[in-house]
Amino acid sequence: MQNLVLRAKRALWTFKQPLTKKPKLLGAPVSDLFVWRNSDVWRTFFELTDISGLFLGHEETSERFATFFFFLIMRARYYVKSVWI
Amino acid sequence: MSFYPILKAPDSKGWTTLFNFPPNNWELRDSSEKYINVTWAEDGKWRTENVGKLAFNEVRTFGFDDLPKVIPRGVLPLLSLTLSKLPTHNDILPSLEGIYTVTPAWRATLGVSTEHTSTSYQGEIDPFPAPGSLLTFGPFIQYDHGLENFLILLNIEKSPVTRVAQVEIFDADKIALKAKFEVRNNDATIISLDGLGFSPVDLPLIICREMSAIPLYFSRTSDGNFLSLEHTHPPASYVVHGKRWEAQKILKKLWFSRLGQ
Repeated sequence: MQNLVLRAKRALWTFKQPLTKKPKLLGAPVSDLFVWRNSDVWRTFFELTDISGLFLGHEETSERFATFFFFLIMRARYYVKSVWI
Repeated sequence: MSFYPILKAPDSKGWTTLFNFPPNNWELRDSSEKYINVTWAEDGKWRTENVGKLAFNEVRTFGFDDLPKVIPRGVLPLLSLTLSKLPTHNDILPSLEGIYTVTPAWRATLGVSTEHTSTSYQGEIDPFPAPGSLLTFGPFIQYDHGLENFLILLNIEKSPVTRVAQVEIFDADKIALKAKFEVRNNDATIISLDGLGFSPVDLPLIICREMSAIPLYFSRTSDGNFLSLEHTHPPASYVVHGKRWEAQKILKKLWFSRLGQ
C-alpha cells in the first residue's frame, strides 16, 4: 500500500515528462554539462564509451561519431561551437 | 532506509556524514529525531551498537575513530538512522524501517581523506541478494607518474557468514584476462589496478559470477595531495525507458558467455 502511494506521488512528477533523443530546439538540455578546466595546473580530457556497442558482438560494431558542443563564457556571454569527433 | 558504510581506502581515512532530513520535499514528510546505529559482521553474527541520536535537520560526521572501541579494526562499519533502537545481536542483517525515498534515495556523504585533501560522493548501500553477480566497465583508471589506482568493491548481504568469490578483470576489447582476485562479502575489498597492463585507450571489464558489489574507483597521488573517488552504476543505467533490468540481464549473459568459464 505504501509503495502504491509512493508510485502515485511519483507519477505526478514524471507524467508526460518530456524526454527526447533528438531535440528540435538547440537549447533543449539532453545531457549534463561537463566543465573543461584549462589552466597551468589542470588538464581536462573526455573519454567517450560506445555504450550501444557493448550490447553487440565485436563483428557488429562499426565506427560511430559524436558531436561535442562547447559553451564558451566570454565577457559574460555564451557562445556555442560544435566539433565532430 | 539504507545503510551508510564508512569507507576504507589505502593510506586514507574513511568518514560518513549523515543527514536527518529527506532529500526532496515531495516524496516524504518526515521530521522525526532518529537513532544512529552502527552495525558490523563479527563471528557469524550481525552486531549493532547505538551511537547517539540525530535531531531533525541535524548533520553529523563519523570516522572509524568516532565509533565504539568494541568494533574490531578492519570490519566494514554500517551506519543507519532508525526510529527505534536496533537489536544488538542478529542472525540476519536488521531490516530498517520504511522511511525512504526513491528519487533520489536518502543518502549520506561517503568520503575518504588524507592529511591534505578529501574526496566524497553521495551514497548508500542495501543488502545484495546472494549469490548475485557483478559486471562493470571501469574507465576510471588514471595514468601518470605517481598515480595509484584502486578498485573498492562494496558488498553487504543479509547473512553475516563470511564468504569469498572470485573477481576477474579483462581487457574488454581483446577479451584478455588480466588478473583474478578474491572479493569478500560484508566488506570493502580493495584491489590495486596498477601493473595490470592497461593503457589509456583500453576499457577494463570487471566481473564476478558469484557476488554482487558496488564498484568504487579510487585514485590518489602517492603523496596524498590529490584524491579521486568515482563509482559506476549497474548496467541497467546504460539504457533508458522500457525493461531496463532486462537489458542488464542481456548484457551480463552476453559478456559472461563471451568470457567463458
